[in-house]
Amino acid sequence: MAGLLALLFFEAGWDAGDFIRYGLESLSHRGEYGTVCFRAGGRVKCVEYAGRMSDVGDSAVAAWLDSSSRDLQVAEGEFLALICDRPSKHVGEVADVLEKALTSTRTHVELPKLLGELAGVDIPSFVALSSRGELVAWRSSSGLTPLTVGSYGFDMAVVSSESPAIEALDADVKKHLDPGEGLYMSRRLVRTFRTPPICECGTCLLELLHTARHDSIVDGVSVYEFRKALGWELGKYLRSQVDAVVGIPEAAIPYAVGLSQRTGAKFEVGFVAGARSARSLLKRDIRNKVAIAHLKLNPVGRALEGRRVAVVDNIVVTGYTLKTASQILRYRVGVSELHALIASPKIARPCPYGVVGLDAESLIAAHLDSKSIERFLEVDSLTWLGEDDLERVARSFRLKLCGKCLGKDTLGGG
Amino acid sequence: MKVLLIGSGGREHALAKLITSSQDGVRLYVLSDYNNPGLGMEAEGTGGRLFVGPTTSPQLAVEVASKVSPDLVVVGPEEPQFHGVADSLRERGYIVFGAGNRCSRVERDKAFARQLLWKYGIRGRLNFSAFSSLEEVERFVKFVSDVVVKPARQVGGKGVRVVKDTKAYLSGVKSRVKARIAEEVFRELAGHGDSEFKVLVEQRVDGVEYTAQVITDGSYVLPLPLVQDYPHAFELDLGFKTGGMGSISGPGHLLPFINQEEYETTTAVVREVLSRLQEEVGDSYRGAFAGQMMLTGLWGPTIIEFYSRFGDPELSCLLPRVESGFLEALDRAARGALAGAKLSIAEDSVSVVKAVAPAGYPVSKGDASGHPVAVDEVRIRELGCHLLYASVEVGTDGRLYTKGSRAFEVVCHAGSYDEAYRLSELAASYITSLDGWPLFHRSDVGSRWLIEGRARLAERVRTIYRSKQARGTLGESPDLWVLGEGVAPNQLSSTAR
Repeated sequence: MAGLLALLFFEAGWDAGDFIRYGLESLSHRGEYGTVCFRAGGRVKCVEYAGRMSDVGDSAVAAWLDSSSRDLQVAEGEFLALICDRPSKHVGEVADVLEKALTSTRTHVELPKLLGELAGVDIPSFVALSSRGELVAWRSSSGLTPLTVGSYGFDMAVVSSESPAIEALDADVKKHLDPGEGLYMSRRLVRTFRTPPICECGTCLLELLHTARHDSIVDGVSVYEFRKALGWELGKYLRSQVDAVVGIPEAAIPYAVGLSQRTGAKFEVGFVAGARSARSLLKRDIRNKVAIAHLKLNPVGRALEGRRVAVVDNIVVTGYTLKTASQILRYRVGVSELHALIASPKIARPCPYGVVGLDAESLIAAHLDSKSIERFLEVDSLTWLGEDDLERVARSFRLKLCGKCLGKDTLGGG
Repeated sequence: MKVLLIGSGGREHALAKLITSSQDGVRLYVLSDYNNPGLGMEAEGTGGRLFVGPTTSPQLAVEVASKVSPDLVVVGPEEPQFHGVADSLRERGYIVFGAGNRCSRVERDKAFARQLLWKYGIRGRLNFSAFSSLEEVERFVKFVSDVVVKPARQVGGKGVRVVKDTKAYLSGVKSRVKARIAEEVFRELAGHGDSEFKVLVEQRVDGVEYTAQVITDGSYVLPLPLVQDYPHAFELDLGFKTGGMGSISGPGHLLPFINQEEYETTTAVVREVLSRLQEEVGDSYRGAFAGQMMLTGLWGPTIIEFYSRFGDPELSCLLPRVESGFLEALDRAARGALAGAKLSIAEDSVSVVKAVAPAGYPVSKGDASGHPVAVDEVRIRELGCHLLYASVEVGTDGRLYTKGSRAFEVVCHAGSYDEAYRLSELAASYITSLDGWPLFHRSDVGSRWLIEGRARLAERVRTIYRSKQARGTLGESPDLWVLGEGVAPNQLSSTAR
């Protein structure tokens, strides 16, 4: 679930530094450790991202990662730097294969062939840079995580995990890569290539539900519209009269908007985030999760005091964020009723692909029944979106989603 | 009928095929800069021959014409026009299809073309400023933002750089790059003394590009079907500007993303430009003319460039779609008797062109030159496609060698884009490198994915320009609000009118 970014300038005269900086800033919700790899002194080198960048040259790859899994996501040698968007024990093997393909005389033939020969190995999406200034970007054959290509005039190509990073660089989105589709780029040549599919996995459900920015387009689907549609579906389950609908910032806002539009209950800005931060879901440490919840949940008390409130969240993993919100609304703001609505079904299984670091022990829905969770959260009612609702909405957007964390293979399609 | 064709590349090969297939008894002669085997075969197939020599030399053109005694001379590219080849031939009484030096100024001198648009208030014009001194342009680009920087003289489509600049946090680096581009353009134009201005800085617009080509005798204008060409070197619209890596055309005279009303507006613009141009330069325009257009939110049909000739690979795209009447149209235009001429177009068909180039094109032409290549023309013909020889010549060993630019074009047509695309991809696969040097083509040109993307973009800009039209502000760029000074007109519109 890291945020990948790759840039290559075709025309001379540019330094990628500012572009890496503002591209990464656009992806900062996707990790806490930023890394940037570029060419220097005839080799590639990777450094920790620390804000301003200069003398980066005409090409670079970069990412936001979970610092604890850096070694499973980054392979760095003199000739090649490779960054995967999720941990993989095969990262070194993939880097070796890439180096072999890039140093062969028929790179564009060897690339898909050699990657294809790793059949059976679930290779994450990656971006890679060689010391000769060649850039390779490839979307995993599983298709779990997206990768989008953009261009800036005649001058630059950019690849990113999310489309807003491309727009932030004044570039235009050109294509959402298909599963197994890759790009080899140098100043002399660009080739697309494809590797055979290894599964019909679908796009990670959590990418659409949680990780991507609202202004992202994932595989041609507007994330905001998708989230609002789920909120609309969720609206049919609101049985109680409420005076206000609030969303947990900022990921759950579109769901609350959708629910408000369906039910007619007024949408209110219930919380203001006090600081920018990565998605709390990405945090494995409970104290970090709660700390982030406290940072992003400063209530707009007067708007809600004494009122009946529906609080909408997109997903419940440990339950700590929603618990924190309910504590704040009940005891600091003083709401008279609190109804929690979750715009997804229960997440009760860990991710088998390591896209999101969900471990079975921390999943509240894997351990407690709904009544117990309701009591833990101290809410008057707790409602989850049904799997059939999610299935219907995904189909209406022609999205095929991975549903392993729900205990299903896939959802939607068409 | 004896026809002398002047020019060397893929466009001329398309012209040769269109000319020789128009009627029986055509004998084709070609003056080419190099031994293009496609042109040689076309000429020899009619009992004519290929002459090799500089196509920009009026003396050589006259010399060849005197040997051949052609009934018609067709001047394909722009550089011979700029060098007065058409004029020299006309002065000696030859019937010539191709703009003379004065009329071709509309392509050669970009500042002149834009001044013409502004002088006569022609619809679809963009704000611009033209510069003859480097210091001036360097000062200017420090405070203009969202622009295209172009050489003020046509240099084979080179040097045009789009510097989109809508994010203030990236403006610093972009200002420096704009100044650097201006310097490069000055260097590039150092050898050309035929243009008062060196650099144009023009308002950048977004939208869908297309080319409107016409044949004219100066008073009558015969519009050809619209074509879209793809200037980016690489797939997904990535990379350098090239002369065009492919094109699509059809069905009918439209494109899947340009409607009838936009086509008619475009044709009206082209007619008016031709009329005003002749008034301005005092010469009659007998030849091909093309408007490189873009459907934008500013105007709808908007003028990006003019060509005083057929586009390449735009003309190639029409090769399988023109059923009859092509040579007659050229001949009548050259004689000033085009009125009433008709071209028969295969209305229901569509065509896809793909250029195949050696790696290194367009920036490292040295690296891209001298590589042996092979083409299975029989297989390409079996697909019903045409093969055009462009920047490729026969070596002393009888093999084909790249010359650094687009080497071949394959031209395929069908009843649908899906089928034409499939054929064009197959056809391109029959061109192979013999020394392992990579060849490339754009596998996305003609694909449903790319066409649908263009259609979505066209729909978006259509909404914008119709909204401006309804508010009566079509073509108006927003004024600027300068703190402490008040409202100021768009910076680009203030000079060089």
